Amino acid sequence: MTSLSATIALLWHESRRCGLAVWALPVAGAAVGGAVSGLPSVARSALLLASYSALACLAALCVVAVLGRARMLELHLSLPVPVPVLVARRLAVVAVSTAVAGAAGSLALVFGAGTEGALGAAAGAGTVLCTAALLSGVALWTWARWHSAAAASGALIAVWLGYALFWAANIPPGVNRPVCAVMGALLIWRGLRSLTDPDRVLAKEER
Amino acid sequence: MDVTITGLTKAFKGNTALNAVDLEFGGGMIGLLGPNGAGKTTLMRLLTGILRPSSGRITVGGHDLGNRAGRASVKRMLGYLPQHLDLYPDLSAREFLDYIGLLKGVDDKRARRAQVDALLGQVSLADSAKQRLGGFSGGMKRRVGIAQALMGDPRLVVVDEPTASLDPEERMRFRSLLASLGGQRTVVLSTHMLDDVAQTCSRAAVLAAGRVVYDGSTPGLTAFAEGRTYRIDTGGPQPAGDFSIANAAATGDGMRYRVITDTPPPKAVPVSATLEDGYVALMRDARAAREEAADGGR
Amino acid sequence: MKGIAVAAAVVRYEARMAARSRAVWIGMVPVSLLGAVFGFATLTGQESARLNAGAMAETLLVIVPIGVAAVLADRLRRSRTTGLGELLDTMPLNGAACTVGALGGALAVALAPVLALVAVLGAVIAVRTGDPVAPVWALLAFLLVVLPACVWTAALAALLGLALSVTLARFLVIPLWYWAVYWNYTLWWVPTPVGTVLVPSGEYPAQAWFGTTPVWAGYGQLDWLSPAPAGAATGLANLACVLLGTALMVGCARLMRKR
Ligand SMILES: Nc1ncnc2c1ncn2[C@@H]1O[C@H](COP(=O)(O)OP(=O)(O)OP(=O)(O)O)[C@@H](O)[C@H]1O
Ligand SMILES: [Mg+2]
Repeated sequence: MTSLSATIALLWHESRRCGLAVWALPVAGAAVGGAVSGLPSVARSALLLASYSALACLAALCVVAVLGRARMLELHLSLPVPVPVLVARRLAVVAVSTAVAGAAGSLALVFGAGTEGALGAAAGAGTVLCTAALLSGVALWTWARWHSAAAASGALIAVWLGYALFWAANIPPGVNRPVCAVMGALLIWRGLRSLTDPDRVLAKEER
Repeated sequence: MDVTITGLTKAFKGNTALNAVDLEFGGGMIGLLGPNGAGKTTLMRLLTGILRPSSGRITVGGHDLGNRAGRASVKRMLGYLPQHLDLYPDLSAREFLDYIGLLKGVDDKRARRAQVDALLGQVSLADSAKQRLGGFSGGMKRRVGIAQALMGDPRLVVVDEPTASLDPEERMRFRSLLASLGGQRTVVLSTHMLDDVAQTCSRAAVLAAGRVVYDGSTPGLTAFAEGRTYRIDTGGPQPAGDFSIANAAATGDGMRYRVITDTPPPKAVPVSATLEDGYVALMRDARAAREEAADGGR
Repeated sequence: MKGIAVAAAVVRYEARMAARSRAVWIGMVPVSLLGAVFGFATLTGQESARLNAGAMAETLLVIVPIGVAAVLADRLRRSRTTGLGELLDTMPLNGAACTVGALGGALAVALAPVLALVAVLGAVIAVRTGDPVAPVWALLAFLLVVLPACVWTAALAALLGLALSVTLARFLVIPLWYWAVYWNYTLWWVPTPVGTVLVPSGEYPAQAWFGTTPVWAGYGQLDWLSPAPAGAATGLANLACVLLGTALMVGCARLMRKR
């Protein structure tokens, strides 16, 4: 069994492998929350939805950035820690960072807009997380299957445009959130699974 | 650590990189030679459990690489240096080795530290231990790669062209480092430098076009050129004929060629063979055998 | 002359590489499909084919330039990481031609699915309005409305990709595009070029040659930069400004590449 200190040391290493993007995300969350709370309330409701999905998109792009920074996969394949586990650890770091970003945004909203903001913030954090799960799933799955961070961000932005312009605008949140969460979990699972295929991982290395 | 490879075949889309390879070796060092595209890297990837064979079987220390449990056990006692290693540029050499140590399951912080410092000394990077890898020269990166392969005290060490891009002094140092390991462990070394093999490996295997064309003692390789090596001095154009050139050197007023042939040209002088001549002779024979097989197939 | 030959060679090879890279297709095909959904929604068939084509092109601008930008953000950065940039620097080439060629070749491939979509939409317009020249109008709308916007965002994204990180550039283009072209400053005032001749919103050309009614054009924050849309004159002025802006961004990219 790995010791606690080793686990902490490893997580610290992995969070550094994720790069600056992970640290920028909470800042972006707070900034978005602050900006939206400063709006007149007519504009706020219009922009709130947009900023939720923007934040989710940012989180998923963060996933792409983290995946794009993965290196020396051939060496990782030869190490005792399987590549899917390695990638999952880094994604967990992004997930934590996203949660912090959501919380920071909500806090900023509560401070800026009072109780009315508080209700919106709670609902908003859920929306952000579910949407981020879906978009991250798209990014991870594309990256794992098609060997490229560029492809992952292209697919991600296409899906995000479709989501923001059609899906979120027409589907009630009660349906939207669970569907996104389930789809996201499924895509992440499929993506991680396809990383168990060494041929595919090596192809990524040689690209 | 006993390694047994039987009937190993690996086919990629359209081409067969390894074709029914049989090899068996125990502790000590084995050198893997062969021309570009012979299948050395593929064999090493199969041996480390990175790739799965199309057919055939590999066991390492009694663990079958064909199943997940076997692969997991082998990975816990493995050190691997890939041919191309793209290091994380924003880590220092020390941090990088620490990270690899953690991934290899060296949990105790103090033990990890001690290993990292010892290895950095051995690859003479102690002075640059705190610098970012992104600023390292090509040879320095290679040395970091060698050090990481030795992290965690692996019992099977697989290194793919470790000496490429090392300067002459570092190459010497690396050879003695390897030689000091060889005693207790199994080291598989692929290289294009025959000297590396001559000086460190008692055993050599040569691959050509996915097949093992030689497997035996390293000095034994010389025998292929014995009685077939000649020297030709010429001041004019490169001599033509049915031979393979093993070496060419300017002599001041012309060129001196070493050639391997069964039908020496008129002015050729027989000379005693070296390891390099042996390798060239072996490649010549392997090529002739392949051509014959292709003709026979037609 | 030599510069043109070099640019043509670069265009050819960049296009070949872009066509073989999955990233371009994986990004552009879904974006074009989305565009199809948008485009079909605007086709009422009530008015003339010309008007329909213009409206269709304006609708495509909501997403297509963003997709193009996302896909091409890494085009100028790519040669740097592979070491190809260093190799090209050692050759007696015209740097500007290389930069333009690199972007142009990839852009041509990225726009191929969009062009296919425009052809389909043109055919649909032809059926709905019964006007056989509708595909020609659709093609013209693509050239005058969609293409300038895509060139502009591609240059912007490539420049951002060089200046910042590629991933960040991919994201930043989205807010930048909506800010520059669709920001409703009456709802929330911030300085924006919306409604001016500077930005490739396509409204000036669409009004000039397809007879659409612009939403923002002419209502920019600076009156002297946002003349009332008045046919070909303002349409051409807008195209010239967009071209100039693109040239500026490519020039900056070229300077950055040199460093
Ligand atoms: N992922 C792959 N897909 C397709 N073919 C491959 C792949 N990897 C290797 N090959 C082919 O397998 C053959 C052996 O390649 P390998 O890399 O093992 O050669 P090598 O002996 O290591 O050569 P070198 O000395 O140049 O490193 C080559 O013909 C190569 O084209
Ligand atoms: Mg090799």
